[in-house]
Amino acid sequence: MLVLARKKGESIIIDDQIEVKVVAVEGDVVKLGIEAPKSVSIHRQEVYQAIQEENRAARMTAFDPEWLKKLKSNIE
Amino acid sequence: MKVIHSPRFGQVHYAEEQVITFPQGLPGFETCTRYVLLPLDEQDEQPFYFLQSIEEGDLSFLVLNPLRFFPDYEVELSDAVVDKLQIEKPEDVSLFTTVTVRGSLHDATTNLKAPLVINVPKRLGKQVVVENKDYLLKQPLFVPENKQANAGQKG
Repeated sequence: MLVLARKKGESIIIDDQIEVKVVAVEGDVVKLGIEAPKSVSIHRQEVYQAIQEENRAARMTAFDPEWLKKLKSNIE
Repeated sequence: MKVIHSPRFGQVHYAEEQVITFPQGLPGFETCTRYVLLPLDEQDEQPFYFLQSIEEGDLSFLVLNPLRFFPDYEVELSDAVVDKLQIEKPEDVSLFTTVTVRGSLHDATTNLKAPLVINVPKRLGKQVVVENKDYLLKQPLFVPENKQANAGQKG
């Protein structure tokens, strides 16, 4: 892992096209400004991780055929 | 027709043109990129489907057309998603949300925070994150305040 020290107002460039700038530092909170091509998706890591976990929970492991009947009866 | 063996559904026959590609897979399952969407029954009039991986027979999800349960649900697609999925017009897009059943069906939840966006004509999909804080990762499907939506389905 590359570790860089940056001050407020300074930035880094990733792969010539993504700029990450330190906009403000307030206590233990760092505000980042990110400029990237629109094809790049950016997420808070914990959000992505939560979705990974939810997907793993949603994976069908023991699907009870009875559920189908109940689901259907619930919407019919 | 091709065949995948699924422990859940037995032999699943599918045509290549039915395959939906998620180029980045799904978070947690990044290496599985190709799926088929199987209606829960042949009538195709209910909102539930199975999303079955054709690369890993053991990988499948119960998914839902969220609009049938949550008629006001809306997702604003970013330019990045429109680009990646080659979406040309809104009608090309179908939304699905995964359903998680923990224990009893009564406790089933659906993930409104991260819907599956599918460009139907292009057979391209991506799971996106919506910023709207009202949309929960674990939205109960069967809760009292949701009865109205269900009642709408029944009526």
